[in-house]
Amino acid sequence: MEHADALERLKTILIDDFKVSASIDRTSHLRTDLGLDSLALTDLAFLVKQDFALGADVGPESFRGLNTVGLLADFLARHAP
Amino acid sequence: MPPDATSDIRARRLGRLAPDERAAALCDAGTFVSERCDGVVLGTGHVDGRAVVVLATDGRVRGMGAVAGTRAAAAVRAASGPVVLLLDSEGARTSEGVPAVLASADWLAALADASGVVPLIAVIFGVAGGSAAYAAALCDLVVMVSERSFVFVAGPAVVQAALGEMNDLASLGGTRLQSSSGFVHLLADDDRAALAHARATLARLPSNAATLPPSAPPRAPRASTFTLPPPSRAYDVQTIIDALVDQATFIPLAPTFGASIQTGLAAIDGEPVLLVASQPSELAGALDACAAQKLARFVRFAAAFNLPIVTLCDTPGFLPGRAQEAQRILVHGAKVIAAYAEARQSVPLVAVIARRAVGAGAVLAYGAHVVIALAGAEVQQMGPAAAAALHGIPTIGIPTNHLDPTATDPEATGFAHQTVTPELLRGALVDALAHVRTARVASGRRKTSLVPL
Repeated sequence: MEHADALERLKTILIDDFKVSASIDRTSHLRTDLGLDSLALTDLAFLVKQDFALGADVGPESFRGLNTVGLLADFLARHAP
Repeated sequence: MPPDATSDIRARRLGRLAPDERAAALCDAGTFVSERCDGVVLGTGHVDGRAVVVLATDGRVRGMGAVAGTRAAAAVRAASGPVVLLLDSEGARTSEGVPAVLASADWLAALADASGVVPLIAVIFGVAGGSAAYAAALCDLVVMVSERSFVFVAGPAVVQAALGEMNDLASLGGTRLQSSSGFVHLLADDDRAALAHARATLARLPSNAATLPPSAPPRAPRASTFTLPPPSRAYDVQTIIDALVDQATFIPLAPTFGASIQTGLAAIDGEPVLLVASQPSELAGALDACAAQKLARFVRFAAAFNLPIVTLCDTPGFLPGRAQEAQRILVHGAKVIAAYAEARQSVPLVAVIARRAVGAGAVLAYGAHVVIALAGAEVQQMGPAAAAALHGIPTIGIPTNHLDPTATDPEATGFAHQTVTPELLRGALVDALAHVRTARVASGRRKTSLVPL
């Protein structure tokens, strides 16, 4: 998947499912800039896994350290079929 | 406080049920009658035709308020049948301060009061933190949804503030950690499967400590017999379990914690039992501190709720060594001895010595109302290698019964009441359970609290 596509789809999820109102770019920190708490971050991991059709090898621990929108979008671009 | 709409959207997208949907799915169709009280769904319903009290917290509402906590405590205190907690809660509502804390404390005290009186089952769907986590800890059985539920004393934000320690939900209290800690007893893939686990366990339990667990139609076992390797070789005890219990009735409890002992609910010829089994594929079946904790807990649980206990003993004894001493093997081992001694006073105990009962490990069979030995099984004061080392003699070629063949034969020593071959074991077990059914002592409202010790 193209990085730009992954980024746009991720933004859509953040806006629709998490009602993020702050501006979102690649440098946005999921926790400190967008206000996602630990439960929301867990939900985000499951939602992107579902929406990006990530494989069974991608578990919750795969998302550790993906703290910014850019890092997460890059990860999704690499792992989405 | 209304549910948070944003988290509700996500819950729907992820297939999570709402609290009232969970309660309804737990109960027989159309039987759940509820009221919503500030973030908690309280009600009664039936599971397999028997009354249960259900409390479902709402993860979309931030914490349990004082009013809801007080109502929850009253509902638990009024229960004469099982209480099922469907948990998705951060604990006491922080915005309400001390009143919410006091109400939660009252709810926890009510659960402690009900412990051993009625079965307490917790199912954790999302986060169970603080008082919600302790509510689960006070329950007899805990079910969690794999990778989607979390339980801890305090969540990541609080831990970071208090200790400077960074964690996500999974690393702090996810199902992997809580399986290895022994906190959770059953895992499920999703909400509905978790509720099915709760229903299945309730089907094996009485409504309360003053009644007997319900029988089911007998089923044939999955296998007709089994073959065991020599004592020096490992095997999976499931091969014996498959030949003893009614097919598809075994519900393993906390199988990965203290794995050298397997515990589970099962039915034998239609009668519910607690099955306890040495697992020779783990630590050769030796009892370590974790296995001892698990064993003592479930033996006490069975005794409290009138479940006969069937123990399959194949153990070299308690695991020695510095690490085990540091983990308080003596204290936890003593719990096992005490739990069996107390259980003997209130429920039928039947033990099977599969290959060996060594040293203090014989506690698994000692004192049972009926002890059945498999042909060739041995009772030993200590293993042959340890005995040889103690007496300063070579180990190679020493038979385990080098002094006198009758000295280690379970029946000849008076330890076992009968000796059978594997193909006759289930029949002997069914007969034994029928024979000692009256070993139950008339019970009062509560035999013992099951507050975890």
